[in-house]
Amino acid sequence: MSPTSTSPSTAWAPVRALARVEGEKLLRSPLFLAGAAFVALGSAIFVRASLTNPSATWNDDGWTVAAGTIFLAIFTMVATNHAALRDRREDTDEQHVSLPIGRSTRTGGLLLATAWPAAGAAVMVLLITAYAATRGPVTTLDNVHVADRLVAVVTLGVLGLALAAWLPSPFVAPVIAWGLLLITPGEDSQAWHVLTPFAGISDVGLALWHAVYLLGLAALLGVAAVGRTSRTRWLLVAGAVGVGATIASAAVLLTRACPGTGPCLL
Amino acid sequence: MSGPTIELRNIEKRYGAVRALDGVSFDIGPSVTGLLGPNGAGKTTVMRMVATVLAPDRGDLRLLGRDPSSASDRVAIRRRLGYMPQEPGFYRSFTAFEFVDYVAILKEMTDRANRHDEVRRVLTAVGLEDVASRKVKALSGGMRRRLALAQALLGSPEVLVLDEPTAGLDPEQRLRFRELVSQLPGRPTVLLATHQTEDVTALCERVLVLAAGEVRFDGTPEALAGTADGRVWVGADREDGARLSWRMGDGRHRHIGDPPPGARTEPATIDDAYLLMVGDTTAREGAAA
Amino acid sequence: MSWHADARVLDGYADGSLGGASVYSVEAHLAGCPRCRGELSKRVDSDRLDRIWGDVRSDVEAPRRGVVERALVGVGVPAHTARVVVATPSLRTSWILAVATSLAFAVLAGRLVGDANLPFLVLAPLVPVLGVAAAFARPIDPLWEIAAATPTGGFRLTMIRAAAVITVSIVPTALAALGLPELGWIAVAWLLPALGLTLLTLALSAGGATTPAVAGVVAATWALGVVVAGQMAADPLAVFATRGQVLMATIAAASVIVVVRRRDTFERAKA
Repeated sequence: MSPTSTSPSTAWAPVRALARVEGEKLLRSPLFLAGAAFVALGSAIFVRASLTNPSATWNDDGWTVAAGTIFLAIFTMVATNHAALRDRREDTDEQHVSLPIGRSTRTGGLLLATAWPAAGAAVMVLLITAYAATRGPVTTLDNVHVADRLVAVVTLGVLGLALAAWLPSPFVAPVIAWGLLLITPGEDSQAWHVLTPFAGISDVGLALWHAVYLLGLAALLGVAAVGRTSRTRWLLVAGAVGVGATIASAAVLLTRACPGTGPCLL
Repeated sequence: MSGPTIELRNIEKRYGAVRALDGVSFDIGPSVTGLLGPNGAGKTTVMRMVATVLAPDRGDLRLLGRDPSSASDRVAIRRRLGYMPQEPGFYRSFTAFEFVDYVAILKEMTDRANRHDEVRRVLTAVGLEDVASRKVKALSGGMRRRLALAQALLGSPEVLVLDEPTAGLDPEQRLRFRELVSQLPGRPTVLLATHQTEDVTALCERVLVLAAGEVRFDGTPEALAGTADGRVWVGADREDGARLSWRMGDGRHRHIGDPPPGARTEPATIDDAYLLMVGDTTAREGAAA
Repeated sequence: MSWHADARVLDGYADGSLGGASVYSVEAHLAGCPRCRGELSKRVDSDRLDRIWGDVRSDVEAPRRGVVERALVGVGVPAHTARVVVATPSLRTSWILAVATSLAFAVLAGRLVGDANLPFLVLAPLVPVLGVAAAFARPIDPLWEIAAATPTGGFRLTMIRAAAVITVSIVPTALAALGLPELGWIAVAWLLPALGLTLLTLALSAGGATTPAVAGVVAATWALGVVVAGQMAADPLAVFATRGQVLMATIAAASVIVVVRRRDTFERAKA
């Protein structure tokens, strides 16, 4: 079902209205709050470390916050998935068919709503980064990593919606979440880890490419989510852009993120 | 607009081998119309078609002058439609207000202030203003039913499709429902499927009886009751020849069917007429099940 | 028909005393002769026939038993218990598929990423815990209110379901364990934790908290505990050493006592 056939500005109004309601619900969902708790915990550990150990730096000890954001991103994915599956869960599919707003508009609203948990994450991370800056040096690389993590929140949020559109079972997202947790690089990383959402890359330029990679993935997954119930030219364009960005950045990362035989990831 | 709001012409619908609707035709304009019939395919199928949820296999359906088989017309119809299904679903973890607010967005009420006003209006209309911030899962069955009615009333639609709106409501709530329907702003077309014949007598200008996929009666409630005139009588004992009889509270027996000569006939009600019109269908369907 | 079976022959056929060749001859004739069939029916005990027909009908009309149910009955579980077990929400295909996939991920991760048995050992004890949560989560079990009012509902149902969930969880986990990079005792180090954590979940939810919330807390505490113990002892599998196993066994025993003593709390709906 296509959205309203009136002028473009009014066609976006329902998407914005839905995004607002869904976004606020996401911020209050227990899954997002649990993820936020992890970030808070990581931040608290860092603060304690910086207060008790004079040689603690954001670079070395800030990993607890980074770990927190990993959980936040993964939990956001399950949260958006849960929101998208609400109609199926509550048996409201039939009565909502009789309403003028169609499925694709609602998915669009949820897509836009992923900005809310990303904003929530950004606020938390910016606060702790500001604190870290008062205790010691915070490099550009650190900031790029933070930005990369925030993009990951959006990408995984969109992944949750794509999964709900194509594999509408409540068990899919938790299993994928577990899988993502398992492929998160730890101490000994391998070459392909550079393509995982939470890869930490030691070069500013390549870290930016990773963010582009994640944005491309987000576009692709977003198109997949909306494209389940609607086919428009805009979607094809966005899909093509997503595919292009993803492939280009993946190629760059794979070829340049591991120069020679040295360790290529953080 | 001129012309009927809801037009059905020779509508057919099959579910596998079962003919749910077999050539149903009627026109409804701005009024309150009741739809009576046995449980099963016919009545709910008609309601769903008018709510644009289901498409007929054959025949012509026109709602508000438009054809719901075209996607853009369908959206246009849905903007002026309110639907309360027989088994409504809810977002149980939402509060009553949040749920109706969400449906309001889906009805394209994008301005927040106006939307919230409208949500408060419909919640007050159904008497749920005090529990607006309670979660749906904490509401009783009757309250949930009223919540489903509230979301159908959003936007003062021109066509209201209500499937069993008073099921599970206590007598006071049923009377409030009648008050609500008779005071709806504008002159909407209300199609009311119900088993409560008192609601039909009290509210409906017109009643349709649907059984075995066809319209058995189309007229006023008084005329419907009138079809059973002279076929209801009271006696002291059971009568084997009656179609149905039962013992009333005062000890006498009430019978429906073909009265023996000299029996004292009683004024017939819609229930009696309904039974005489539809009773053999139900018996046949029951035997086949 | 030019001839019909006479009364003596039909009597003999009805009571089974008629000899071999004559029986075939009579049957062949009966197949095409309604009059003789009518004569025969007067001689047959209709009660017995009705009973046989009733048995056939109820066998044909009985709901088909799935493979699992038949297997359970075959192993000796009473038929009615088997029916209850099979209806448990977390024994559904989608759940089992999700469990199998997650375990496969853990084994794969252990092999590819080099964490050996750790991911698997963290996940394996949680499978029955989450299964118990899924079996009792109200949104997943639509029948909870009706079941709560029946004699089997409440404690007995909880125990039957918990036992079923634990058993069903052990099987795919054990199978997945075969794929672990490091076999040996460490591949079964998850059994006692599985038992302990599941019983702990039941014991804690006997206090009135909803089972899914308790299961979530238990799962999170377990995951955190494994990580913290691993860091403190510099061995990621520290929790699975002898001391950890003894602790799990103690938790299991204590939980059993709590569950049995507070079994009445399972009989009431939680608010």
